[in-house]
Amino acid sequence: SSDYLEEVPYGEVSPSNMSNPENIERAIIAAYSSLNGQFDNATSGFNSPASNWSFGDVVSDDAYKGGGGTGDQNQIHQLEIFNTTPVITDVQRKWLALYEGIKRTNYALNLLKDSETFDTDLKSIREGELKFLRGHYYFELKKIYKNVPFIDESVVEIQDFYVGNKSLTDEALWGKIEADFNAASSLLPMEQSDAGRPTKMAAMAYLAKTYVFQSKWQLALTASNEVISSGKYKLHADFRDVFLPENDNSREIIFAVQHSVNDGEPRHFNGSIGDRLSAPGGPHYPQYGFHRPSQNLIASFRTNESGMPLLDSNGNSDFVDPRLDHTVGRPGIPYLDLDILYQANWARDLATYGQFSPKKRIVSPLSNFQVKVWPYISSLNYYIIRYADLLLWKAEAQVELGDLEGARETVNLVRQRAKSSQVVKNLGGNAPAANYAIEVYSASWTDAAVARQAVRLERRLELAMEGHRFFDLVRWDIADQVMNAYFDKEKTLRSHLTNAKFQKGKHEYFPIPQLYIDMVGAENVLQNPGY
Amino acid sequence: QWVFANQSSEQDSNQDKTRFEETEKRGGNILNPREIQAEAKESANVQILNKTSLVQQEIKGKVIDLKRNEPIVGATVIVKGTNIGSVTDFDGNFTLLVPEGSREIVVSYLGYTAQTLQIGNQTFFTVNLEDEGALLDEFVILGYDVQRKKDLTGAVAIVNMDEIKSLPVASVESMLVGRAPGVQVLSDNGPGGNVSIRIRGFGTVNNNDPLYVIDGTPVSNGLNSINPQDIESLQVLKDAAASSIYGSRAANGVVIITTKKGKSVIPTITLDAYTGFQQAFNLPKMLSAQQYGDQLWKASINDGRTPASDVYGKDPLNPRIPQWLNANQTIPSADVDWVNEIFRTAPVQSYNLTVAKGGEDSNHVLSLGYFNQDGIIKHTGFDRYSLRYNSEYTLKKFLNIGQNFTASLTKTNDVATNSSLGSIVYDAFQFPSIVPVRDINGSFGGNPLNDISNPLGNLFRQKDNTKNRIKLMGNVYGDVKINDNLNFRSNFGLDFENFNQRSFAPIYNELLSQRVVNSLSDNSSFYYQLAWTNTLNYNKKFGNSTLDLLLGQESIENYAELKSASREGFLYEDPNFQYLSYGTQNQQNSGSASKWNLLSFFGKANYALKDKYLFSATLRYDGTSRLANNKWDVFPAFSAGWRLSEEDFLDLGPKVNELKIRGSWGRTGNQQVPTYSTLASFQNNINYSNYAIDGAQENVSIGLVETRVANSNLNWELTTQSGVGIDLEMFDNKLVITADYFNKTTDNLLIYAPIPPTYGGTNDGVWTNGGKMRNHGFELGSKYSGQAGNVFYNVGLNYSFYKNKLVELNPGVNYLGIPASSLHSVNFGQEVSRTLAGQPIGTFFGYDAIGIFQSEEEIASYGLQPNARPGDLKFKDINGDGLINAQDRTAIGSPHPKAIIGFNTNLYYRGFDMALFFNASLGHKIYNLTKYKTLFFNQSAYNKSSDIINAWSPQNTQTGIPRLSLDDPNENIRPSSYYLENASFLKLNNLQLGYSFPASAFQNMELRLYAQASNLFTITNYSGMTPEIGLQNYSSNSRNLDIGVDRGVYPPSRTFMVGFNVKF
Repeated sequence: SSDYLEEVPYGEVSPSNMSNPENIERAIIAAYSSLNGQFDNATSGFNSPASNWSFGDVVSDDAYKGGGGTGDQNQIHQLEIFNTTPVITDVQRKWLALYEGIKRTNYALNLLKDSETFDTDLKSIREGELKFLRGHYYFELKKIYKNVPFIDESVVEIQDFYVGNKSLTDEALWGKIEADFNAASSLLPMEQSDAGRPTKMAAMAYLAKTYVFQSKWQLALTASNEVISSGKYKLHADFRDVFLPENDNSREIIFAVQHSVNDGEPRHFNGSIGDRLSAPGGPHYPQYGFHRPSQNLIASFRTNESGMPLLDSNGNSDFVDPRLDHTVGRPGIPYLDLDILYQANWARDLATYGQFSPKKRIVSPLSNFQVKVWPYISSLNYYIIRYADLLLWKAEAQVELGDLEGARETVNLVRQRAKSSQVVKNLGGNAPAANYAIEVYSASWTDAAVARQAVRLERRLELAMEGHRFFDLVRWDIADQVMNAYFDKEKTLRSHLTNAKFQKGKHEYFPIPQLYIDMVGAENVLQNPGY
Repeated sequence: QWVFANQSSEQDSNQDKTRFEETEKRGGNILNPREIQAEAKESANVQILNKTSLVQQEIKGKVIDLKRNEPIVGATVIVKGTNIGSVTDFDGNFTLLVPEGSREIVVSYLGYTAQTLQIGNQTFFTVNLEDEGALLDEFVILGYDVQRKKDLTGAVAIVNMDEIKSLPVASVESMLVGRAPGVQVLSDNGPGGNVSIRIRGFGTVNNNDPLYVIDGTPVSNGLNSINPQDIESLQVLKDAAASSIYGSRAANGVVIITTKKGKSVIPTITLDAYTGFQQAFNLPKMLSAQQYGDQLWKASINDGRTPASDVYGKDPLNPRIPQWLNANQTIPSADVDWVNEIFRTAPVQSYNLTVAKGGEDSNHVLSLGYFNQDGIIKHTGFDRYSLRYNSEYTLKKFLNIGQNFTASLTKTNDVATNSSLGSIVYDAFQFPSIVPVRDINGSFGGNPLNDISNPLGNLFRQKDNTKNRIKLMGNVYGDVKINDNLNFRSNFGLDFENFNQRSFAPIYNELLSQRVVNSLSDNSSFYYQLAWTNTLNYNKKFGNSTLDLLLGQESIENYAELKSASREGFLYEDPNFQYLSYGTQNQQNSGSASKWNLLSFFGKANYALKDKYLFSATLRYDGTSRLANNKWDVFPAFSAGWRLSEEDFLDLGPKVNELKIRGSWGRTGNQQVPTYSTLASFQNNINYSNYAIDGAQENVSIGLVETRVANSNLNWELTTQSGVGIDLEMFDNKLVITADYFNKTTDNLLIYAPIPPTYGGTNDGVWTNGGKMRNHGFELGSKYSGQAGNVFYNVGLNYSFYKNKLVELNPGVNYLGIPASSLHSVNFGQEVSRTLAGQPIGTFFGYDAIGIFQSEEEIASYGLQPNARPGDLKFKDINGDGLINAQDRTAIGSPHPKAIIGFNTNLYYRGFDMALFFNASLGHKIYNLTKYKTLFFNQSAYNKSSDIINAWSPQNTQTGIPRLSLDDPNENIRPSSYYLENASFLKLNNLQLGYSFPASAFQNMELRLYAQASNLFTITNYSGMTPEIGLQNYSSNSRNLDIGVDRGVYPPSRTFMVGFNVKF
């Protein structure tokens, strides 16, 4: 009989039922779910991290790969020494994660569009969220791969996904991203009841970022100012506390990847899974010792006695910016609230990668939100944009537009918070753990070049180990100078960098993944130069 | 004193055989040659009446099996030209009163060549009967029907059970190794492990497994739960003519397995036992603790670095082995050969008891088996307890009912090998030699260099994680003889499996590898397949033609359900507490199910004219639940044969006994895509579809993602096969040759076409009908049986080859690769094989490595590899664009052998027997991916092969191993022909010596003792442990795209065994 051959899948929702409003909401949740880079059952979320620890920090002057020698996740070592190839797993999986987000977003957009039963007001808000998400995913693609195919909700059939990356110019692709954030900012409300959903101002902030990356300074300034003047955001009182799971949706956070642990996923794949190699080691953190701060990064936190950064990298000083010991684990300095001194031997393979460990985005094992078993991750959100980041864009825009004093004021907001934050104390809790000194810039800024250098340094210090550094170097068009200078010096300390070399005009972008080229045909793909 | 009542046709020396043929032609209900035999014997018995007359002279004698030196029970002795006869008793003795003037007696026994003896004045006769050689060869079970071999028009490989019935094998599949031309057996070597059979190459890219039919019931999996001792016959239907009656699942051939039935009226008890031990051999040598340090230093210096290591110190000149490996000074340094350490000499044993009885109206077989094999890798092993009960009853003249039933319990302790997702063999290769087996506290030594946990610790910790499988398989049937020509049969088959594995992960701490919370996961599955088959058989002889008709209907339902649960935080790690209830935290569970159904109608007609012109036609109409919009398709097949040897006008001479040419054409189908491939749907997946939208730290909202990329138009894959064959028997049937040529084309290839990465990473492909594949090949089976004095011998040679080619792929699909998700980070996620149009399936893919640069000048003059240094690999610019980049990857070799050969010989001499079995594969390559781990220093924290001591250096240029480098700026490690090796081999697979005691030695008891050795030697140039590399994975859909890649296999073992067979 025909019934006998009828297939009824168990536990699956048919496409026709997806148009129910509650299922549309679930399709939208799935579009968010891609934000943390976990898109399949594999345990290799670290290849496509939301935090860009590998794509933004390891390939910059801020961090080393770490782990058990150059041979541990050797492909990331190859990224670190700029021996990058289009077949490197991470290059491929990051792409897959971002396009997964795009596909889910587009699908949900179509569901929304076609739905007649979805609440009308909510519909436009959700549409705004989806446009925001799509903007984010493309922004990530753009900054990593430069030339990428643009796929929107009009692409539905599988065969239409065989598209090359040649059709859009650089400018046109930026235009698409701007359009999504513009649409999002016009559709989104000022407030959302769910902390994980973007607001109008989050979209505006991302739009500012989009302008910053194109050096559209006036637009960037205007957008930043609009966010600032909305009054929705402010710097959290304490620099260290910004990075506690309890504060991961505080008013400093403009948009974040929401992480969750102990939520029924036995492997905690909804947590900071992309960072699962970053646990520093030592008695409280088993494994894996990746994402290790560079000597150069440590040095950049030096200040003079009066708390001003040493812009000259050759200078010498006993004083450091207090943010240093919130950002990295240094021997002899207490580690978080563990009431224990960080020791060099926590660090894995210190013969190769030195004695420092990450700290800023590491959650204390005393917290319920740090998973004590594999994969040793936490529920701390990853901050895609936090207010300090936005302030520093504004400062940059001010410098580039000639408002040096304005820039100084803006930078000082960030420094003032750092200054007024608690410093790391010794184990007795009665004295600072090191010679900390930080002060706001009190003297007027008159030289644009000096001001530019100050703003850029401030970005580095404030946002260190947050996955931004490399992309900043690239957009400032100084990646080759900075990286090659860094290699020249750093490799005398760290032999794993012996063969590292940054090639201008090539290494600013990662290669288009070979998998994509193989599948859509080499003739349809513009590989980035040099690969 | 027995006398035949019916004198008419019984006196031919070949009476039994004639009778079978008669029976076979007459009876409609022929299902099994054994039944035919039984029926024949029963009818003989019935017709022997106890009469006395004309007594003149008493003669006595004994009938003995010549080869085995055993008495033959139940042999018939008759006086030629009369109806007077007798049968032999338990000891093979007979007594016969011979009328005066009788000149000859004829002694015959089923399956043996009858002998005619002069009576003369002799009163005691010792009659040696010679086994005709597998009588089974005469009949071929084709599933729904049985055919005389002589009438066969399709290609069928028949495993000579005689040669292997006493051969101790662990599984049914291993009976096929080298025994049937055109059949390849791929195995993972693990005890109770996975085996895949490939018939006539690779017909498709996805599911290439043949259909298994056991006692008329198709089954889907779990052949390792079948006790090989229960097998009566094993036949492989290779071409469409033979297999298309199975339509939808027959495209990859059909393996027909028939289990034993009670034969003898006299109850027999058989006991078979063997025991022995297995050893690993040909294990690779890794670097010692000091050698590793030396080579690490060398690699660092090659890179221009100053060597230093946390473990080996900071002396730039010499690596130093510290006294302790950890700060707490609990792990002393050592020097351990870890590869050797994970292996052991392991016992294997098997016991089997069979009780059988045949009879007029019923027959029964009861068999009990126990098989135990410890693995040569520590803490692995396999146990099988099996029970079989087969019976058959004639209730009425027109009604037979019967059943075959087997239950088995298997317990498997296995470990991942040859897998990109982790292999204990790789772990042993890579674990540092410097680490001791145990630290000073008696814990497994922890490793300060890399994150591999102690291989022995790993094996130890999972030793109780046994996979338990209970399998029930069987069928019941009823046969109704409607009239002399018409027979109806209804068969109901069940294949049921219950699986459970509790996996406990204890707490341990080995420096970089630890577990701080213990956990238990409990996985079970429940599976059944129901098959109901109804067939109508019609047989009729018209003049000199014979017609057999078969009509049938079959429905199959397959259901599988999975459940799993886990908890963490067990207070005690004692095995008594390794149950879910004792875990305190993180309770998880999940469950899912799937189902598919098949419905079929089929018919077959065989027509024989004058016993020499043979025709056969088959039609099957199949419906599947898996193809929503293309459920039904039709599968026809036609074949014809011509027995030239029966033609009067052709004089082939007296030496040719049989010559037949055959030809066939047919079509079979394949619908074995994963269930629901045609249905678009959405699902929740806790791993990647949820999100904490409200900002919660420990709670997520549910998301729905696309389950799969559906293809609602998915259609049947069609395999069209044509072939010609020849069967030749010569020299009194001593030489038997079967040769076949086939051409097999698969259209509408069901492929899992990769989706461009613009579609994201959750769904990486779609099932589609996307190409065409062709296999053609040749198979030759030959056997010669002879005698020299008292030595009887036979020699068999099988030879086959197939040529596989993916003829085309649909536009838009450039190649089929191994999904990235199954590559993990091995090889940087790069596939080492691809299936490309114009190339065979699973072709190795990569750069062409054409040597090692010897000097800077050579690099400069080559000009294409600026990052290279002397000692690096040179790669070929395939597309000639003056660059070495991804576009220069190409097909670099094939994993498919050009010839597969099996050679066996059996010798019998006065109770002694010897069997030798060789197998060989020639002309294929292996991608030795272990080199990726063991020859390159990119992943420097892991131990390497001692071969790298011979790596290139300015002082050592005559070597095939590139210079050592940690940074590898030339990317020597990339997939390339450097990894390829010729894998041709010849192996002495098996050697067996046996002795059968004369029956007189023990009362009424046959006893045979034997000793056997397997894997005695292998001749090959392949550098890895074994040139027989199976698939990476035996269950994934892409398993056939990944052939012959050596990722650290579970090596085969060398086995020595002794055993006995007793029958009384």
